[in-house]
Amino acid sequence: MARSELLDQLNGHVAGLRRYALVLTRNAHDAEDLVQDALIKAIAAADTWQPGGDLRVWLFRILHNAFISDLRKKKVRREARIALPEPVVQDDQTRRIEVQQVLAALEQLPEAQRRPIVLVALEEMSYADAAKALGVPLGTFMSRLGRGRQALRQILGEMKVTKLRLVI
Amino acid sequence: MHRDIEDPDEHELQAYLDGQLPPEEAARVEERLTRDPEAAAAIEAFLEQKALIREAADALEPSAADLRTAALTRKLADRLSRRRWGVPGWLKQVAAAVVLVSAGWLAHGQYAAMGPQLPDYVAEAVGAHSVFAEDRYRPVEFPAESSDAAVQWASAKLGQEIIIPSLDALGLELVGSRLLGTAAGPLLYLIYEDAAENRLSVLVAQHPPDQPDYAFRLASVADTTVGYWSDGALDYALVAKASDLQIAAIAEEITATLTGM
Repeated sequence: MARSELLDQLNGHVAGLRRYALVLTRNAHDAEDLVQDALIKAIAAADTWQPGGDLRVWLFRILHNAFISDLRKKKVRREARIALPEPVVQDDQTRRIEVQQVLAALEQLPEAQRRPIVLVALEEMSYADAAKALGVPLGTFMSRLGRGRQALRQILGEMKVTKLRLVI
Repeated sequence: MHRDIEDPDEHELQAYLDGQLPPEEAARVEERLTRDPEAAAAIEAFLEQKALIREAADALEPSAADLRTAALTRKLADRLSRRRWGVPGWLKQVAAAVVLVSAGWLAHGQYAAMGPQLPDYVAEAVGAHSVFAEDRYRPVEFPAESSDAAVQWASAKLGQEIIIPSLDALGLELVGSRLLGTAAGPLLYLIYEDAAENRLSVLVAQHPPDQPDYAFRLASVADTTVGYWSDGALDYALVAKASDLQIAAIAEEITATLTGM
């Protein structure tokens, strides 16, 4: 694989890393920091990548480790959250609220459940690869994904009920 | 109602909505969904979650790319592409390829003795490599993008239509070319390099009509490995700091490119 081909692949993967980091951190600045931190670690660890190996899984794994060590350092997630920018194309107010709600609901989940949900939503990845990227056994990954989705569904359901009551 | 998340059926539902199931199992889940409205409602809710998370990512994404991220990405591409040379994993692949495609060459290829027994054009190639390949400032007369003129000249002088072989498949890019007038006749000299800027010299010469053809041969000169062969019309030489297997693999790639195989 030539450098240009590698760079094309990497650009695609980095875009994926950034989207994933954005949803996890909900802060453009933190997300960019996290992606850059992961890239720096990847450069230092370039020798651990086996040519022909799955570059995306390798990168997500590094991003995760960076994210976890960052969490440990900070102990508390930062409160400063960016608001969603105004939608450019669609002016669907209801949809916008629902998107805000899903982010708020994700926020209430334990980190360990939030990660598999977001990863699987954003990246077309086999469960086996996703488990590898998150550094957990496949069984653990699947129960966290299932539990997290159930919990998310419940939180979103409660939000809807609250909203309905307000409307009525 | 409480749903048991450790229930195998529940895992299957998750796997279904993430497209992880083979067709026959997916069909079984779909059949189940027609008789299990609760499962169907769960699937719908989970799919909606996925869609909303994707929309959230779209909405959060800044329009402007970050310059530092882009620079780091390029640096990572450099580092990863460098792993092509001299790294056991890659070398094993090349070795396997070489064993498959050129066992004959290596088995019959003789190790030529150093020095005076090398054909003149091969000695010229070694000399050109030591003079030009390591020159970081002006290694070539014609950079890769204007090699056409050099190729036309060389084709006329060598009496053969010359094609510059593409070595992209091996991660080697053409740096450019030089035209050399030597005691061995006119020569087209090409320099390639990999992502780590390791340089490879390729020399193309006219095959002397009074000399027999010969198969691929390897030689070591100082710290470089030389591979050379003749296709009857033209003679070729490769020079690089590389292993015998790498040189053989590159030679194989060149002959495959030139013969359109």
